[in-house]
Amino acid sequence: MTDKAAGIKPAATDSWGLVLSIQLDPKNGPEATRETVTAADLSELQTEAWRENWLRKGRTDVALENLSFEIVPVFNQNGNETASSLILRSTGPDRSVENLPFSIFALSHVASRASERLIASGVLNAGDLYYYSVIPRHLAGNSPASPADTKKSSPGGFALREEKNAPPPYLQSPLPPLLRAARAVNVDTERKRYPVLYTAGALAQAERAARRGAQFEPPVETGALLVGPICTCPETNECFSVITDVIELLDTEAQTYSLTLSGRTWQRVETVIRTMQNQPETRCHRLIGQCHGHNFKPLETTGMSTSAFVSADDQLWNNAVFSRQPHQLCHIFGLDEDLHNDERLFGLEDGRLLERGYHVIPKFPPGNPGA
Amino acid sequence: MKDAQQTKTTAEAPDATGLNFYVTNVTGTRSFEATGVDPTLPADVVSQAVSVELSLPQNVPWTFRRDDSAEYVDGLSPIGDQVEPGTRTTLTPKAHLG
Repeated sequence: MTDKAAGIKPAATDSWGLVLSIQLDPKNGPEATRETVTAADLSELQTEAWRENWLRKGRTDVALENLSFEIVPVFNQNGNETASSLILRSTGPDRSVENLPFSIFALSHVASRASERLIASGVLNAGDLYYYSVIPRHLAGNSPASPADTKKSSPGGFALREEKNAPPPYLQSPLPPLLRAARAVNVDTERKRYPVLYTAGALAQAERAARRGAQFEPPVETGALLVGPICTCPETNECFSVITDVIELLDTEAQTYSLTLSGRTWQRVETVIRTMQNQPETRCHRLIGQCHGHNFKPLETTGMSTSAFVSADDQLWNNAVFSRQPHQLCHIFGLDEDLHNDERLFGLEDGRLLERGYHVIPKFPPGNPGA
Repeated sequence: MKDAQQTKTTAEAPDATGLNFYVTNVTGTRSFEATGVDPTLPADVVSQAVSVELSLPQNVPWTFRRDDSAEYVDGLSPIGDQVEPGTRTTLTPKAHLG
């Protein structure tokens, strides 16, 4: 895999570890600190590679746990031994190999962790710019890492044994007729992102739940979890998600700039989703993502003309709650500078939540008048 | 998301060297039996160790929530004072949407 246009090529296959070098000055400034990239830091990249290289190619028989991964750095050509980008190589149970490229921005969460430490120690002020480069380190003799083991011993001496829960099954549904009946919202036809479909009813419910907090004085954040099946298309092999329902977040601690779920919030969500999964017609339903309202005008500190953006807290929350879930979504309902309604959907891409489009369909399944 | 019968059956044979209980991730897609947990350890120490074992993001702290009462455990108190053998818990991030 050589990027001929840029004249760069990945390093020879071997095992690599990564370290971030954090600088306060982008031009030859002193290194402020270093941060090691851990296995957990690569979890979302691995999850995305699973989706792009396996699920979307009809390989829904391959579980994330069945893949082994290794990072292959693409070195800068200036000889300073930093990486300009990364390739995540996944090997399946049949020994077939797939590659997915990532930019170094896929590790921004690692840099953010280092910056928090610098802020705590007074080296950096909150809001200050910082810069990072990725330094690959050769790990001789290490074998490719698998994302999960079924049994592990912890440093504290206890052990974890994974119970073999059957995940919700994928639902088979032809995609082309759904797209023909759909209204595209903010869909970039140049990029073949995995399709996300919303039923019109679910989209209306999501927006209603997210904007409910605008009715309070001062306005607060409210929201819902997005629910529906992950589908596979027997015609195209594409893997896509359909949001058919929402579960409104109740019993929360709602503030103007934050939304905290309580134990009772989660208990209700679990009861509803369990009930759905026990019904034949909704047995494939799962939690796909969340939506919430940024019911405030655009913030000067973000430099954006909309409040429909993913905050650092949103990114952290999504990564934690939907860890290892490749179809995770974050839908923000906000306001533009003229205080008109604005909304944007974000999905996992390049290891983080990036804006993407979606399709609105009248109902799902197509023959079900009630959905 | 296991039913109560399975929980009871498994819990009848606890690990004699420590506390045994169950941990599920927030979205219910993965669940584990934790065995041999030192009951005198603070709950936060155990929840954080479990989150590391599951390769969950370490940019947020984690806590246990009891499935029966929906209550979060007190992170500073011993896990054994708050979780009985066979209890089902959910490992939940201490994080909020912003």
